Amino acid sequence: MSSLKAAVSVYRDIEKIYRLYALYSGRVQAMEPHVKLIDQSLAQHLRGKDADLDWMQFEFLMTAVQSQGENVFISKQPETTLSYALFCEGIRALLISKNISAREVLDWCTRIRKYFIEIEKPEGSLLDLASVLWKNPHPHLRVYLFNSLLELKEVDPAAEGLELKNETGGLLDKDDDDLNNTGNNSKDEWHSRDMDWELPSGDLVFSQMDAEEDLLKDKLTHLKQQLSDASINDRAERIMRFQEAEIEALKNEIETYDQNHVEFNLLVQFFTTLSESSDATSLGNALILENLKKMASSIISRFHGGLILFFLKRLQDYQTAKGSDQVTESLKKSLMEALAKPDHLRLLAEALTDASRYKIAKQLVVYLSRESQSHLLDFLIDQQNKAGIQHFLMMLIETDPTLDQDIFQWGDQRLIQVLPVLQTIPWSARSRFLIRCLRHRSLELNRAALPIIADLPIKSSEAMALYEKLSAHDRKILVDSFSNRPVLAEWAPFIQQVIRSGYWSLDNSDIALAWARAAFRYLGRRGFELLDPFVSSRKFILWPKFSVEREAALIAALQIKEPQLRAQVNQWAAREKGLFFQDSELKQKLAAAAR
Amino acid sequence: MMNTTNQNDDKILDAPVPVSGLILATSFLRTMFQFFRQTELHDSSNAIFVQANQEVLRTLSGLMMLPGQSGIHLTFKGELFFINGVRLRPQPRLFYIYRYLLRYFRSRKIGGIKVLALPTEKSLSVFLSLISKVDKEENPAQEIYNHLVSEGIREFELIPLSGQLEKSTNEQGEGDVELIVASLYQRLQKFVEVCFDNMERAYSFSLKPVQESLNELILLAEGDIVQMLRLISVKRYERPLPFRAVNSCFMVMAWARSLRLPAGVVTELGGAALAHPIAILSGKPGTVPEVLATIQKLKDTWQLTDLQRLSVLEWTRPFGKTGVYETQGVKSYQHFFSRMIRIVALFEEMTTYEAGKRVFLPDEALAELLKNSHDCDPTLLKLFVNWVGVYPVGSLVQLQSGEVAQVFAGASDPLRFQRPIVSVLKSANGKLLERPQLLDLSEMNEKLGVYKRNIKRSITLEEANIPPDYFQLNPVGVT
Repeated sequence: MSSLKAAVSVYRDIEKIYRLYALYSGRVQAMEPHVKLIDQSLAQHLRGKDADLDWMQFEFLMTAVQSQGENVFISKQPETTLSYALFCEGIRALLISKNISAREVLDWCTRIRKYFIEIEKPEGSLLDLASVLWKNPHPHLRVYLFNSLLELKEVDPAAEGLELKNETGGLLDKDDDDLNNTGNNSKDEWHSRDMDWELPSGDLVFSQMDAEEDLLKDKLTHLKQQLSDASINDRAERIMRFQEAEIEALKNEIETYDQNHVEFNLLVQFFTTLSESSDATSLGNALILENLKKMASSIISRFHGGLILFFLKRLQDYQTAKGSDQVTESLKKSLMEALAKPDHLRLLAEALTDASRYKIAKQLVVYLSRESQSHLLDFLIDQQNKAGIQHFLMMLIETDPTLDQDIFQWGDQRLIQVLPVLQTIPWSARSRFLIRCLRHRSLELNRAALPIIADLPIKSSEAMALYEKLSAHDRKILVDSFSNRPVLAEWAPFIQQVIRSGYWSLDNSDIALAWARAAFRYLGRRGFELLDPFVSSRKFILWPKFSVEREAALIAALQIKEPQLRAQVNQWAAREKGLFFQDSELKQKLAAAAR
Repeated sequence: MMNTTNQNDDKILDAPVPVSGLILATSFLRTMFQFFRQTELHDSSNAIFVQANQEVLRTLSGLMMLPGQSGIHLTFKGELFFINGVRLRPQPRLFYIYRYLLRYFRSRKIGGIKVLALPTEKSLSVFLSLISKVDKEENPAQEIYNHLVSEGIREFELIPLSGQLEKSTNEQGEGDVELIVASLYQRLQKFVEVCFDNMERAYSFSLKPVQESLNELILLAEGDIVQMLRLISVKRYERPLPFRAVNSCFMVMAWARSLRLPAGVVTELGGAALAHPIAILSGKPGTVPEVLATIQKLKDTWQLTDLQRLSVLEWTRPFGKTGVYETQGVKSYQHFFSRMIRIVALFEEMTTYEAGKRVFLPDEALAELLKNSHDCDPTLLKLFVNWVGVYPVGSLVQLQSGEVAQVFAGASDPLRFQRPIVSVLKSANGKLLERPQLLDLSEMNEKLGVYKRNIKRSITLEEANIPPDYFQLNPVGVT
């Protein structure tokens, strides 16, 4: 699929969502089926096997939308479109990440719709839409503002002589071709660093500038000399020229708001001040604390990897240096509160299955309260996100030594959901946990644990008590687990007891067959000994005395693959093939085995 | 399967949805602009006007179908358009349309349009064509009205420009703009002064929220804000800090407006500039705990956003080589808000009178800033100088012909930003003029091929020796 085709489809999906809100007057339930469809479409075009872009950019013209210079949307009645609204309000472009969901687009469009409703009111907001969207909290959407620096760039000074001044008073100089060319390729894009989850520190700016510096050295030195010599005289016009590279860098910075940049700088200042302060109760520190708490919530809501890790690292450093005092406890609590918000838990749930965010999610799980853990699990269960559940459980296993007890606070239903996933994870306390599940008062939970019961070293008496309370259906699940799981010697006495007591054939022939298989698998030759009376006993010489048990034992025996038991099987086959009154098919199989 | 369902879902794009009045009003202006623009390029018989007319009709009918709109009353005041008394906020990308229409209507002495009922395609076409062709010198509104009556078209009425001004006596007319700006200046100055003097007790003064004042300020034209800076540039204050705060706020907002940043961004920047002296008040400029303690004390009266707080914390830091500064080994990059505020704040600091301190003339201050190239962001500084001009508005200058003048506005020719429009205050023989006289320094003596007048040098208020009240007089037109 071409990227243009994908861009056309993605932009149409965005327009659809914008209209949906108006069509259904914001009723979420009514919009839901459409949103689901659009979500699938976005996934296909942005994350499908042919999708190769991390970000897709749309430029807004008056009656059209372009992506990579091609029209992707045109409307004859622009007033009804999102693109026209954004154009009029001063939005130059929209950048969307491949990880966007229809839900996030809906939230964003809702914000825009509500803005237009609000400004129609007499007491409506004075804030303009561009400013509202400039500080938009949606992590996968970014708007670029129209500004006069764009016009500076569009001016062609070659046609006008050395320099031009546009109506806003800006000057542009393009006579330094070398500098301009370098600027185009290595333009300062530090502000877009959050796209790659980089820490928004000045390091990146610094290193980029260093790289540029060698190439630009002569030109920049020249420029600096001009600036340092500057005085207001007739040469001023020459000195006040702009290099395209610098305008480009400033334009990039101005036209989009970088909350990460603001928060990173504040975090650096706040943590530094905290660590240098001797008086934790000072007024300034109180404000720092208050701000850090707010920021914790903000950076989690955007789930910016670099910032979250930076925050946690500085918190740990501070804790190490100052000890576990009120400040760290208070910040940890605020982290827990921030994480407890449903939207943030949903983000965390998504991050658990995203390779690039897994590391961050793992560090954050530590700050989840028991209650939040349960809610996070609910999100994962609702999404049927097995990988997410698995990652989440693995993190808990690593970080919570008493998980086998704490986990029961989640409630029966959640435990039932996670049990199948748990059996795939190596966990030293798993047996303890499963045994608790089997002993639990909830029969439903007992049942959920049955398929993996064979992994547990439980006592024969306990197993018997459990077996007696199960239905025929659940008994079958239990006995089947003896065939599917690795052999655990502790189960041998129980199996022996079941065969001896005759419990094994009480329910139906399927269960009897499963028990016979279990007996051979766990008891080996001893299994033959135990089952032989059921096989060899006769009624009036020509009839089997225990026809069901005999048949089950013989079928199970014929399925044995272990070479060390083959002699025993052959012996049975030779002896039993001659019995007159038995199932003909079994008779043939026995004859074949005897041969 | 999904494709089919998606195709069905595509019908959403054709379904009728309610449209915002603001968008429709904008479209109405846009389509009118397109129509009038075509009249300058094509003959009226050109088929292009059919579609242009249909477009105007489409947007007009959309507007008239809005609930509660029985007719459309389009007026303008200053740089603002009003539809049925509701102000249309200028939208950055459509400034040129607004300006074009304002000039178009003003040149025809039209102060407003009334659409009493939805016109037919034909009557609208006649009406728009009449506006475009009308003789500008006569009484255009009356002339158009007479034509409409003779054609039996009754859906429109025109308001002559003078009539519009008369009608707006009970509203705030253009002449009141200066008063509005002055009152906003005073309100903000009082706000800052009370806050700085009283800190946590400032709350008890029941001050008007600062954001409200900034929201009002952003509605004014960039030129009106700059004129206020001209008027106050010749003042002397005993306690300059609050004035520096407000001046910086006005200046940075006007500057940001010139960069066409959206209103909300500009007011946030203005708020940060207004708060910038908090970093100075705290004793040791730039020390975070002290600055934050001050912010904390003012929190009930003056709420700052994260970005404003960062700007207050950062603006005191020199730009250095790259704008990157280091704190405990961690590098941070100064935000552009902080860098803009630094330029404006330093300019104000240098040019605002303070007893016992050297006061720079505006052009000297700019030279000083340019000389210390590592002090401010060079790109923003150049943008600032380009915007403010080599002789910023308010600068007092002596002309080579001997007159004393004050810079009134930027150069009429953008290529000659050393040749602003000045307001001549004193004649060459040192006598105060009866009224200040505007003079465009870019005017040429056609015979000699040289400029009529040149700036000789900038001068101080003391050298100019002009009574303070004289600056308040409105100058008479450009000669």
